[in-house]
Amino acid sequence: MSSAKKTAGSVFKNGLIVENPTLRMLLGMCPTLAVSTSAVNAVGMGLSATLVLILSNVVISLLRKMIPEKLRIPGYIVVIATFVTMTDLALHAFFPDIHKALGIFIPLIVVNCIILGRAEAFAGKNPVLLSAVDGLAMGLGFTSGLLILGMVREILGNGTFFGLQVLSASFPQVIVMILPAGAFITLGLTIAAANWIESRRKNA
Amino acid sequence: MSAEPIHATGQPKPQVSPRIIAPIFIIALFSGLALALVNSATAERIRLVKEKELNDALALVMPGFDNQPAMEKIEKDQGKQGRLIFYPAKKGDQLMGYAVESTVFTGYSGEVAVIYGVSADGVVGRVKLLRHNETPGLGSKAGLPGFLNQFEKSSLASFRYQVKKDGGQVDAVTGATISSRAVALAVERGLQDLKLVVGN
Repeated sequence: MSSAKKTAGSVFKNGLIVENPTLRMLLGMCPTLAVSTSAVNAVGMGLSATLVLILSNVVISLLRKMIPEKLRIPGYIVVIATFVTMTDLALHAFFPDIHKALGIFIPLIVVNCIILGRAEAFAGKNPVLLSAVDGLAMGLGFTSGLLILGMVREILGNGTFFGLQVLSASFPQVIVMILPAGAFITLGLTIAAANWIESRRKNA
Repeated sequence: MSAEPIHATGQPKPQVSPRIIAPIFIIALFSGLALALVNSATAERIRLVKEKELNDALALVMPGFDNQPAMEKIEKDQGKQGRLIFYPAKKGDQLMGYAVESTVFTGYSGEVAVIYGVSADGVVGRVKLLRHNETPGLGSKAGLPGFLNQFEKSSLASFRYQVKKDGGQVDAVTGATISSRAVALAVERGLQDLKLVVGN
């Protein structure tokens, strides 16, 4: 990745698959575990984080020559916190239901290490357009990881898929899947599957 | 590095020059301005969203009023025990009853707030779970009609607001006794306090 010339396509594939933040880099585990109780929450959280990632990557890339090296982390955090607060206010005003469901996890996007990580590893060193693509791809990578967990946990634990009943009510619901323990179990198995696919891809 | 003046602690003296501070100052300034703009653009809508949420809840639990219950509300903060808000519902000049918003902190994850209607003679109408942080798909089922409907037409004289496990008459949600207990407690406390306020 670092040696080859970066193109929008390679950056996009890198964020979504090669360095998928949830399944390959294991970043942002706290919201991943906490919010993936249902598919709808997973998508709401994932897309909110994606929006913040794109905006903060673009602004940090624009400011990358202006922000002094020594104070870059506080500078990044101010930019990220600003966009998170804007997202929080906008969700509250226009999507009150999603805002209610995600609650405290929206303000906590500020400390989601994926966002600071991309600012530090990518947007602080690369041009605006590529940084926007990187934000989008990393955001979608995070969303897809969350969504896999959210769907599995919701179907097994609650018998529903995006809120629609898919398993009949008589089918036993595995309550542990909704609880934190279920989050860890699902995450571990999903990462194992991702590693297995990756190793097969390498050996092929 | 050795030529630099050494601070008393042995650390190199921190260099603070305007050249370093200025960009951060400018970023913070623009962030503040941008936030002020977004805040003023959304404040009115957020107020309306909250107002609509309350009005929808009031209309659900105490249908048919024609006054402005939110204007005549009576608030009682009881510290760690909870918080109560009574909304008088009137039709013409006739008091129909109260919508009671009762918050307790004994849920599985803290705050549980319910709102319900109480007729003038102390009988509970519909109950709605207003706010909670209970486990999705488990404790959150205490917000479904299947659980909440059992409080309908109950009153302090005719109903014991404890779960069956504790010797009461409330059917707890399977696997969510703590959440069920919190809802039952919230309903009971509102009724007890309403009795003191109204005195019937």
